[in-house]
Amino acid sequence: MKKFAIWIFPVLVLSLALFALAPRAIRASDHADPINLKEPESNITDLFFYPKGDQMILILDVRRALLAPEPYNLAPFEYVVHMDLTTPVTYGNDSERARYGGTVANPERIHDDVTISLRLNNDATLKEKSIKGLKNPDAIRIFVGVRDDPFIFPRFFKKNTIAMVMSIPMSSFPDGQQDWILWGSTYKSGKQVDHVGRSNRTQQARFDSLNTLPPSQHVPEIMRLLKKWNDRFTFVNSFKEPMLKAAAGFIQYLLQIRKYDVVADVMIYTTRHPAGFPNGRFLTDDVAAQTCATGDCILQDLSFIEGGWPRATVNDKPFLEDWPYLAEPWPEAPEPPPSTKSIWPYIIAFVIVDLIVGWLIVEGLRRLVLWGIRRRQRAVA
Amino acid sequence: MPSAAAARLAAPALLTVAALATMGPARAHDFWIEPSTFHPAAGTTVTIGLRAGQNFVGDPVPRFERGIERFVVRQDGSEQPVVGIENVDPAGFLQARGGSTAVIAYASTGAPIELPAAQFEDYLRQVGLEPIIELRARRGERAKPGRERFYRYAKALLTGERTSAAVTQPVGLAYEIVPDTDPTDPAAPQNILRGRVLYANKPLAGALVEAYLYSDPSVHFATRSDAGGAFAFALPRAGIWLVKSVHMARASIFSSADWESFWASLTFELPAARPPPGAQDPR
Repeated sequence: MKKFAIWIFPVLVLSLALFALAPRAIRASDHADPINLKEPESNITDLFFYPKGDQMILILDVRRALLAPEPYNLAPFEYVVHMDLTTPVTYGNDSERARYGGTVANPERIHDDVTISLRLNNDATLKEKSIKGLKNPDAIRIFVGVRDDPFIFPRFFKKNTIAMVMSIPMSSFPDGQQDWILWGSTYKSGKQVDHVGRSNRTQQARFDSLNTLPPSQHVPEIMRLLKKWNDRFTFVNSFKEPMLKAAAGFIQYLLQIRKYDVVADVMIYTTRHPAGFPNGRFLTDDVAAQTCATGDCILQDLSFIEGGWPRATVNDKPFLEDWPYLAEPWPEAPEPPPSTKSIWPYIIAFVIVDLIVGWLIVEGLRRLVLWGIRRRQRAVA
Repeated sequence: MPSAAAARLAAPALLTVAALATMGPARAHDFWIEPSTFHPAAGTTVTIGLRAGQNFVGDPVPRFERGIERFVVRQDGSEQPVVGIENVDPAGFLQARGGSTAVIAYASTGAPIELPAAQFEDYLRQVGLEPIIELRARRGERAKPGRERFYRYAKALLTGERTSAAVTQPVGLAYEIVPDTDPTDPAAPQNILRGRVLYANKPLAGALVEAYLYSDPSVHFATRSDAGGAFAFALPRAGIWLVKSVHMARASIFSSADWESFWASLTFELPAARPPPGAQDPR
């Protein structure tokens, strides 16, 4: 108990400090990370893009950890996949090719030549579609519905997602098209609320503020974050106390921008190299391991923590050879209710106790001083 | 460039490789900026490496916030900080605007160093600070170790779509190399770099100024600034060049060091020379 009392004060102070330091990122949320969105149907969980025969397969998934039956809250949202077919991509930088599939030399110029916009009904059927920038859009096959979550990650095993699967004829793209830059966005009332580019980027807490920005604005935002978190890291790390060193480590691991982060979050796909992450993404790509190999290991760490041995490197249900490729959904089941517990009563209680203890100390000192003065006066008398 | 002019510029000023090769083992370490590219396209992200070494061959210097007094880029009329990550090389990142030539400037806070007397004098000779040796002799200090505090002032130019007058203006470093014209200008008179060395924003006479070619560090030249702080080099080849100079002054009586040294450098990419006027395109 005494030990607890010794630790509770610094732990509470540290917690409050970290809470104050933490970006909206951590409090707001994203993707497949462990943080809940208020409206999970806006939450993009996956983007896949790969060739199959004379088609390009495009899959956008939303609504993580789904087991609940319909109706869902899909109607307010517009789900859009953007493609930039003209901004140059280069492949000479080995580290960027390994991490991102290539290099967009001028990210400020990223724009959409193609948009595929879908609106869904609350029963997860297609309500309307709008396809711009592609030839013969009627030839594009679309599936919308609840399917098994294809992400190879134990937390989402035996869970479903709402899938939008598209098969786009290569002939719909400009003749000779070799390079694609693509990303997905969710909009509500015309305002962007979520973003996905390459897997396991905007899922990271340090990138959360990218979720409401188009890729052309990502690099300036990442530069801003880089300065902000470097300043905070160096400040906290400049103190000798182990607790603050630990806090600095927390900032460095979760929030500080890395030197290889200063690129826009998009998916790159090219026909110049074999397909598969990070050159587009197959359903079978184990991106938790692949992104760990180039620097971001939190998903792999979590898959060891939450999963069994050996670590799963394939999905929990086999993918289908045929349309719509994603496995059949898991049976519906009640979802655990979101936590209703709040930290604020604890914080308020801590502040009140702190004030009472402070008042007792001051009052005690005051009485002590008064007692001393009276004693001296009696002695003089 | 007329060859006679080149010879006139070069001959009195050049200390050749052979001359430098006769000097003692290296003691001093130059410091310069090495960006990922010297001619970024608009919008591209440029990483800014700091290097310490000799003869334009250096080791990476990670970012160390407490050691940085100023680290900025001036481009298209505004100045922004060069952001970076503590303990990481490259030390900085910036997004190039690409319009006009950008000027990156770095100033360090001072750091102390103490060298035995002989090593200290070797290094003073190497960087052309013989007057300090004479001064130490006059003060009867030649046997004393050299206690100094050194400051680094590095600049780099990123070629833009057009030249910039900002290149010819001091950025306010304590010791600074300032070109008279933008050396990244492909239309400039052929490969002659003229400039000034400024100490405390005033021309410094008699400073040794050296130039090294990145692709072949054996190609290097040296000259001394004239009474107006001016210097000139005939740089024979296009490529990335390092121009550097070291100045030393007596430290104040409140300093724990006896001397303060100031290490200025300028890196840039000299474009391929334009054909001289009247030359015909053979096509």
